[in-house]
Amino acid sequence: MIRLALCDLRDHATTWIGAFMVAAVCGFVGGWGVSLAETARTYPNMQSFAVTVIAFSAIAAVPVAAQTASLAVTAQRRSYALWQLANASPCQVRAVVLGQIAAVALLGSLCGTLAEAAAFEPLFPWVFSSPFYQPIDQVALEVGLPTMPAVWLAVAVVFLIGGLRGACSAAKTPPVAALREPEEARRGMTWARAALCAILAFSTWQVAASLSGGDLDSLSGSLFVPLLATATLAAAAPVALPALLGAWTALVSRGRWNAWFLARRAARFGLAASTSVETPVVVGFGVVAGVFSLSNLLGAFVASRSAVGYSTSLDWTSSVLLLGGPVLLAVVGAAASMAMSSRARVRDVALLVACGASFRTVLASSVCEALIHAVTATLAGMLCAVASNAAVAFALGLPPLEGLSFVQGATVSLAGLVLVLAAELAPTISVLRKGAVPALAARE
Amino acid sequence: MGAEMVVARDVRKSFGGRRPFGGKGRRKGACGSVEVLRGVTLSVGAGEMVAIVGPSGSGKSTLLHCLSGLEDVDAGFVEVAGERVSGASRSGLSRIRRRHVGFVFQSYNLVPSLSVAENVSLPARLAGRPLARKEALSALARVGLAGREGSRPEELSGGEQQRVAIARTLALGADAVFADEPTGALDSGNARAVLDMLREIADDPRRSVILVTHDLEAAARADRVLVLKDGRVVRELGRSSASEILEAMEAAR
Repeated sequence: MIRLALCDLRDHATTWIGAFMVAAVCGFVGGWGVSLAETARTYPNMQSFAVTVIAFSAIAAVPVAAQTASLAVTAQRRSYALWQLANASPCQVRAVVLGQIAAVALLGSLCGTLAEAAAFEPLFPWVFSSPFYQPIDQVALEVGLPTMPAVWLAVAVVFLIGGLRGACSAAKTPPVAALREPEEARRGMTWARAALCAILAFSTWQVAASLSGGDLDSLSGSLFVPLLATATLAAAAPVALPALLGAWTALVSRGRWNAWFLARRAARFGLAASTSVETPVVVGFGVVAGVFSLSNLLGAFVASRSAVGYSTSLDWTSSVLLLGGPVLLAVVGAAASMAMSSRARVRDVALLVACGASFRTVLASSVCEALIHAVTATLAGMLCAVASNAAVAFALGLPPLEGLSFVQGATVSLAGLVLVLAAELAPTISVLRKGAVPALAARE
Repeated sequence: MGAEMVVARDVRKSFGGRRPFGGKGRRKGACGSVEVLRGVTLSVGAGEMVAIVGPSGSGKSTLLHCLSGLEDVDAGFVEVAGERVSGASRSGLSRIRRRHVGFVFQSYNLVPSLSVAENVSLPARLAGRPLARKEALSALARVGLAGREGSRPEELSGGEQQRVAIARTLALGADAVFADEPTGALDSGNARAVLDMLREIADDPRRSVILVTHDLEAAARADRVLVLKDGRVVRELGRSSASEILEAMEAAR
């Protein structure tokens, strides 16, 4: 079985490299939080930074890592079915799948933390270069290598939780059904996910409600509202994102343009891949737009109270500390997810070419599909930002749309779109260059 | 036999040519390459069904791919429905496929994200003449799949998927239908039904069917049988029984 698992890692390198990249970014972001926390042991005024960075990074990393792990297992359904046909028991399949996920997560996070350890010293003064934090060069930096195993463990646990359902499904699904059906049947949310979603929504409301007194000193807690609102939507992503995608794309006429018709069908069909591509961008957009909107909202609130000495604007350092991790996870997660599903994309492009689709139609269809994912994620992220802004504004007695801004979030969407497009076009162009026959033959 | 629908002259094709030292690109037929087609010449008339048989590795599928424009030829001439396939640009090839060519593959190759009706109307849609829903349903009814238009391909059996592939070529009105082992994955009942449908297409005097098969019963349904060996047509038979085709194949060994 070990040889089988290793061969599978080699044969499906694209899928596992995608998962590895996401684990590495999780490791890097987690390592950054650990290094800040270790440095803050000597400088207590930095401790709140460390806690905020870890909280923001963790809440952004969990949905992205979990979706990536889930997609990695889903993309391998066919292989796992072949293992069962070779007489591997369901228990063995489950164990090997989880072993693969754990190994990739540990290795990725190890590499990520090592990269962070090497980069911490030059990155620290760059991040803290805002005038408010000067002089910073006397700070004795502590990377915190002995604490890094906690990051590896956390990343591995999140990956395992994300891939657990898929692993159990891979073990339980009859191999013939897995070989026959290219995509896992659509399923709703599990009770655990629904409960998590409810808890996160309730927490969002509670944190927002705690601001209702308008106490200026307790306003810093409001930063967690957009984070929790985004996490709520990310938890509901398997149900919410396909519904949103179906709803807005239905508004565009599908009869006129073949590329749009094909892209919409493909995006709606590959739900696991679609959700996995969109979730990181939702997280990135929701957190960035939510935090910047909140900053504007709090600025308006402080101004309305004529308070002095309260800064609500986000300088360079605060922006990087709060949003750097979620943004990095968003763009890498989205591109990795798209690359991980490239095998199915290659087959679909070959089928279209065989049916006589022109190169222009195939390329336009790929662009449309990337656009559909980016727009769906942006709309969901906008919902998060609007909801969190409205909740805080309601608590503070301000108009619900006060301070709302999507500009900074749009840059995340744009970066996500560019990377998703690159990941989508690479296999498409490969098929167009090599011809449809090798891809069609590979399926047989 | 009607006007020539598919014409091939001295078609050659190699795979796996090594890049010559200091050279640019891939040299076909160079050291290390395998010459799969070694000068195949054939013609298929409208209203005709031609079967290509031969041992594994004889180049049957490659020939079909070259004739249909899915694969470039290294040398020789190929024409489908009066349009030159060999030497055509990529966009020219896709235009020819849209206008004139229908495929039936062993592994069905339906687009999984589309419903059965959408799969049937896809080539016509790509050719810029979208089918009315009624036409797609009519094509499905002709292959015995009325009422299954909303299903996804994975919800159908192998035989049903193959019938959808045939309905697709019926709906497109393809001039030349290329079938690569269309009965290879089917039970005898479904295989017979699929062959009946291909025969029906070939009986239309404006259309022709080229069938690659290992199944001698399937080949016996064709008007002519070409025996391919080592990339060359080594025997040509008229309408023949399965045993006559087997004899011809054995004689060619």
